[in-house]
Amino acid sequence: MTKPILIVGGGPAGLSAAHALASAGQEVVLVEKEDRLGGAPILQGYAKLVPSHEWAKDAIGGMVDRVTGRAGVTVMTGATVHGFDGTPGAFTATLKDGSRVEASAAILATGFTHFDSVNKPEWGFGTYPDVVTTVQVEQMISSGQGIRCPSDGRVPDRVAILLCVGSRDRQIGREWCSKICCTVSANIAMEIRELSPKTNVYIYYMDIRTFGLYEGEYYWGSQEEAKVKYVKARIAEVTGRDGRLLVKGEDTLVKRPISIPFDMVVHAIGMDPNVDNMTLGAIFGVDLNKYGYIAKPSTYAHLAETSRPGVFVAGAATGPETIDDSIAQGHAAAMAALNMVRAPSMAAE
Amino acid sequence: MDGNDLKKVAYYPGCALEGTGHAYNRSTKAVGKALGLDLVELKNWNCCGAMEVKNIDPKIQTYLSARNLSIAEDMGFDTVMAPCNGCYHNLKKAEYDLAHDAASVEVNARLSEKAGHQTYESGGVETIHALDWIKRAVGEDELAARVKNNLKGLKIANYYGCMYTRPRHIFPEKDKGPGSESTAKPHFMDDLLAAAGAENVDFPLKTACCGGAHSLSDSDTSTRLVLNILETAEACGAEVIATECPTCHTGLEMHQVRAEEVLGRKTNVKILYFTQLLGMALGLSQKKVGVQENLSDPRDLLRQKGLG
Amino acid sequence: MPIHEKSLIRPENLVEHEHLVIDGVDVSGHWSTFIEGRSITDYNEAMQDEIAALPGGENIHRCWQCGSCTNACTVNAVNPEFNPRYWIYLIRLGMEQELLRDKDIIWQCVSCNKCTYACPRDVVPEGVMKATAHWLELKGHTPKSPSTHFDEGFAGSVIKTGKIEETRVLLGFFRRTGQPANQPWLARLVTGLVRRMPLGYLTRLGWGVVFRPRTRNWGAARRALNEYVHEVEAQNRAALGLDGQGRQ
Ligand SMILES: Cc1cc2nc3c(=O)[nH]c(=O)nc-3n(C[C@H](O)[C@H](O)[C@H](O)COP(=O)(O)OP(=O)(O)OC[C@H]3O[C@@H](n4cnc5c(N)ncnc54)[C@H](O)[C@@H]3O)c2cc1C
Ligand code: SF4
Ligand code: SF4
Ligand code: SF4
Repeated sequence: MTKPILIVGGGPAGLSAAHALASAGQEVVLVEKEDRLGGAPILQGYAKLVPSHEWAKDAIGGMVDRVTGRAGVTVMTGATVHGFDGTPGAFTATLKDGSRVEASAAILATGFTHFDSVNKPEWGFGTYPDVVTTVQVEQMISSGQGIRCPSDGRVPDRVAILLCVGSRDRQIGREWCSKICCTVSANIAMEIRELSPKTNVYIYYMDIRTFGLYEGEYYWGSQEEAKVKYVKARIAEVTGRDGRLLVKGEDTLVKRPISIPFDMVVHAIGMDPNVDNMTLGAIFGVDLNKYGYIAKPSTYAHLAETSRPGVFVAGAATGPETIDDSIAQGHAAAMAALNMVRAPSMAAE
Repeated sequence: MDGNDLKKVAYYPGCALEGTGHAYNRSTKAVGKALGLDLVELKNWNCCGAMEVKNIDPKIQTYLSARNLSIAEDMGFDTVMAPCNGCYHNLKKAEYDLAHDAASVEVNARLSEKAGHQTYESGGVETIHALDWIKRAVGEDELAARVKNNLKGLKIANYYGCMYTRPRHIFPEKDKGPGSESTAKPHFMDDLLAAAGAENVDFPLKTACCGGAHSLSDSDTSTRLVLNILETAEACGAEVIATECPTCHTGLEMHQVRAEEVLGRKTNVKILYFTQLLGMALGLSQKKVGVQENLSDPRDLLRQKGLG
Repeated sequence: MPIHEKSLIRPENLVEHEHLVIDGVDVSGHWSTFIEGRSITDYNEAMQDEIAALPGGENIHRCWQCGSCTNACTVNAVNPEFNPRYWIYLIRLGMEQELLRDKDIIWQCVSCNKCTYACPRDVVPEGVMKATAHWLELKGHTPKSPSTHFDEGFAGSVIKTGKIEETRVLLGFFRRTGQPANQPWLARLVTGLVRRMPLGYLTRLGWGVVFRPRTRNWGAARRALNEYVHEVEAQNRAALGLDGQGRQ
């Protein structure tokens, strides 16, 4: 009988891997650091997801339900791995509480960390309460509270969404695009317009990356139906004046400085490497790539492999990914791990 | 490095402190003495390249600055203190370029060899500003304990200028969170003057540019930039602008006069080096810290506040 | 021509004949107004490479036109025509004629590095401004700017003696740029100083003009630096396809 496969991280990628393995009759142990499963969409309270428009709590909640209590799946929440030794087919993981888990393989589905906007002080987060992040807006929507300025609870007349906050910026060592925030911002803009038709929404962009099929529904849709306005400008600074926020920059298309009052400014924050990655890399003996995500040595032939045989990776742990891609990668990692533990050479041991 | 190692450091005054920044030199030395800190001037130093030489070729500036660092090393120091933002910036930039740019390393080695002195290699000497020096060698608590003449009631706008914080990559020790200096909102001068009892006003133009690079070659632009700084400081309620760079200081003083003469816009805010203010707080006379050399003539204001 | 359209057209592109008769019809004056072609008809493909070859211009190719430099820029705040982002675009595409329209203000960059601080691609726009100003001068599009005069005077003094002496650099600068050194505001500055400076200090400033402060044993460094400056100047000229005398 093969030992269980260890999955670290219970977000979309980890949940998908757990479901796939259990469906194939493979035992799994799912270790999650937080006290509940679901990853970013559940832990951070996202609202309606791109591209399905389902509420996160329903869509990802459903993925959680499908693995919890299922035969062959052991879920350990509030747990982290502190030691990991052995060889493919016979690993031993030591958890924070000292307990041990025998495993034939491991899948890292440890996801990402939200960029902390305090690191871009010029854009006012932390100084002005009405400067918020996309995560906060998701929460305003999902909690049913609606779009309101944190300072005094008023419904904003005008909202600015600043793209690429914490992405695509050498000054802070982040040379990647977070992939989903353009589309998420267009989605949020449409939701704001729906919840509060009197609120005007402006998106400040350098490039718009609503890739693939997101183009029509989100980029075009937000302009054609929701009348969201797009301005090609990277903002210089956000300051306060007379109880409102002042957004300053250069409108590059008209070649003129702008200084426009807003009631609320939203940072479209990016997906940083998980802050645990250095530790995870050391414990599991896997390399990180130059950006700090978990490295995948092979792009085509050996899907989901890390630099260490028997340890696989999926989802936003490898770089900015969408939920559906994370889920697909969770499946791919499950398949790769299963192939390895069920290979004749290993099954014989 | 702990504070103790900074009790005796190499001192690089630079050309400006021997000329227009004379009062800064004088007050820096006086403050050091009053605080029991030792400054040992670099032997036979040369100009760091100021703001101009890099426009001929940046590597000349790297060499000029590196030569000074090699002198510090020769004299057995691992820290050199430069009170002038321009010097401080250039020594830092040389350090950065010699650690990151092979071509700079090559040119520096070639020029040093031809000039007949030891080639400076990155990592040998740490350059600090006068603000770092007092902050780290003494700190706010000890400073406060030594204050004899509280600066109480003096409203100050702290002006740091450009070269102390930009570009950020040459100051790897800044922006390291609590305790470290911030390139977006520097506060070391605020901290020290507050410890001496001053009331710092909330001044949004701390790192604005005074146009120092074209103080003379494009005086009209400089005058407009300086006037904006002066008027904003006054609007924030400041009686004094504290400076920590001779180029900024002279620029503010000079264009304060020029704004009045050419644009007819008079401002009354007084411009003082932070070391002059600290010196008076430590009980030194106006004369000792060179206040008579300040063009904005702060003597009456200081007397009113019982200082110097 | 409708008024609002006229406002979009640059005056130099409007042509009017004072006396013109076509087919017996007098179309003199505004009746004969026509607009010269407004389309850009070619790119100077060498331009980006040439500017990138000059010190400071190295990273120009990284720019993605976000505008952060311009909106951070000190000089842009006083003169909206000063637009580093826009110039970088023109240079990258080689729109030389467009760039030349602004040739007389590019040197005004005050090196505050606000742009460098803001630029997400680390283009170092400050360096690009210097390289561009340098390019304009080397190519003969602009005379040496007051700033270049100052830089050269200053650097000359440093290379010669190892130090600078401010009074001397100042007087030299006024001489080189043909400005009178007795402008009223300067006079007030000097008298203000003289009134209150300690005598010793003034004497020293005065002496500085006669006996320059200098770094001892500087001769070898001076020779090495002069040699290097010549080398760099030759390289810069070569990169721009200019000969030893700076001719095309
Ligand atoms: C504001 C915002 C909105 C978004 N909206 C959408 C959307 O609408 N549609 C879409 O497709 N994508 C969206 N995304 C992207 C989406 O969040 C990610 O694609 C998805 O969360 C990635 O799933 P994951 O399982 O790889 O990682 P995560 O969701 O980050 O899950 C990782 C899990 O691992 C756990 N973990 C981390 N470290 C450890 C450790 N050391 N030990 C144990 N457990 C650990 C975490 O607690 C977490 O539960 C959005 C992103 C942001 C920032
Ligand atoms: S997806 Fe859009 S907002 Fe996000 S980093 Fe990429 S370009 Fe910027
Ligand atoms: S360095 Fe020059 S281009 Fe850059 S912000 Fe300052 S003045 Fe503008
Ligand atoms: S900030 Fe940098 S990338 Fe953006 S327009 Fe300016 S030079 Fe280009």
